Amino acid sequence: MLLALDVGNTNVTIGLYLDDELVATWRLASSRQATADEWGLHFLQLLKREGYSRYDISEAAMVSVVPPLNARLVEACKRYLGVPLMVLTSTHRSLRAVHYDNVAALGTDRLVNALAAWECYGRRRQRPTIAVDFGTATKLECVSADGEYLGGCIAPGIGISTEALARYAARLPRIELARPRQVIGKNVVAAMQAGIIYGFAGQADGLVTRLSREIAPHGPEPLVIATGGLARLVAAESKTIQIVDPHLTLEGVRLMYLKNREPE
Amino acid sequence: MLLAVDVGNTVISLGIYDGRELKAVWRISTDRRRTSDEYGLLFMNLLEHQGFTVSDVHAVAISSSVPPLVTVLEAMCHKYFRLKPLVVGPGTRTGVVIRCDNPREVGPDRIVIAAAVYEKYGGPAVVADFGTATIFDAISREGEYLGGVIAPGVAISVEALFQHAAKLPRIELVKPPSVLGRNTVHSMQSGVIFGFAGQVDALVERMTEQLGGPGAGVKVVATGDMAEVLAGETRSIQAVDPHLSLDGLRIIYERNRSRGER
Repeated sequence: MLLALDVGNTNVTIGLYLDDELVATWRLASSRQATADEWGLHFLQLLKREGYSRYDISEAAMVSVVPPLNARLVEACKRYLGVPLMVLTSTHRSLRAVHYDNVAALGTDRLVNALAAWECYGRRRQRPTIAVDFGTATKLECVSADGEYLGGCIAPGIGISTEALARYAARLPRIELARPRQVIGKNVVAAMQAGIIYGFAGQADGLVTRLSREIAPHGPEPLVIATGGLARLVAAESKTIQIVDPHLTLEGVRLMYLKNREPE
Repeated sequence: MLLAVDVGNTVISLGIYDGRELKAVWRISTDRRRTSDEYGLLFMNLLEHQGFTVSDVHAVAISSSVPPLVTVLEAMCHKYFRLKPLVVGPGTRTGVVIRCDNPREVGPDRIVIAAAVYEKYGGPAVVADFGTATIFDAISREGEYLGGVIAPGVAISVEALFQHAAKLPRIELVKPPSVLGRNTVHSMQSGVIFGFAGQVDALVERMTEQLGGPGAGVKVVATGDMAEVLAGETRSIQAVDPHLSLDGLRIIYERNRSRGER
């Protein structure tokens, strides 16, 4: 089985694949302090809880935007699971072409999202795709109908922006992220809920609409696939998001790993 | 002359009015630790630098989003200007009727903006105020304050992004050559500029809908730090008015003065 790791600035998401089937997922905090031994023990315990052991794992691959964690995770996989962990980078094989000024500087998390969106949704329908990942940052990735990476955008994410708002503004409370009854808020909590839910849906829609005009001015219209913790909440208010796939990034890790498993 | 003081969470704006005319504007950072003497010296220096003196100021009007600074600034006015300022708060005759769950909870900054936009543009109206938070206010055809929307502000969101994302660089907030970013800096500039433009359009359009739809003639005015940069990228903002808060303070001051004199 393949263990796929998505190391983000806030969470490490782990997926266990039996061939192309995702059979278990876990989320851990991206602790900058945890040692290789601690990561290794976490992996063993999580596997055991789902009825698996280290001997079920034959392969492991990772995409990471937190470089200091990479070496510890590689060591944890080697010593506790007995498998090498492939650290995917943007210069590995992925989409048929990657149009970016400096491919090595392109976040690998962005490239795997682009790859998964196109392979899972765009390819069959011969449509361009835009992947929207609502994480620490909101990241959008464009792929042409024939499977070339075209570029994208990076905007401040929902969680960190909302947290910053509560920290800076003396009078504002921390709120539950839920949909308010109407857009014009009659109290502070309702006003903030509207600003966040409808505002971030608008952020995504504004970017998708403008990107679509640039990458597919004459159609066919891009398919828009959202992922990330708050994707479902925002997608419900968005006018452009058509598909929510919570495991898009893990799927991208698996797909990119398969393309690079055999040496070139 | 009237000195209008708008205390925001990050910036204090000051404006001096000769009648209805705004003669000079200053901006200083909001510092909760500064004493009344420090604010007094700062205000006097700023006035003098533009050729005004303390005796030119015959009235001060204050609105504050930072409650602890109200007493500090009141003490400063007594000592340095020898006058009692008009502090906009519950009980002030602002001329703005508040239609919210708890009118006392509505910040004075919102009421000041509502007074200004209704006097200058009429209603119904939506104001987008780009500060620490981006605040959208809804004003009815009759000039009532109907409530609003509060979203994370541009600058604090971008700052949060730099702090949390290990691999992202700091960027200048300017419009990139295209929406599609082909390097990290352009990707971020695009995400920020066009993303916030999208946020504004989506919220303004939903608010306009609630205020009666496209036929209701809703005016949409932007104010605050980022208004100028973003307005050009939105389809919803009709006017940029950088001094809406200061004008609102002047308008409310005039309303109180004329009643007081009668």
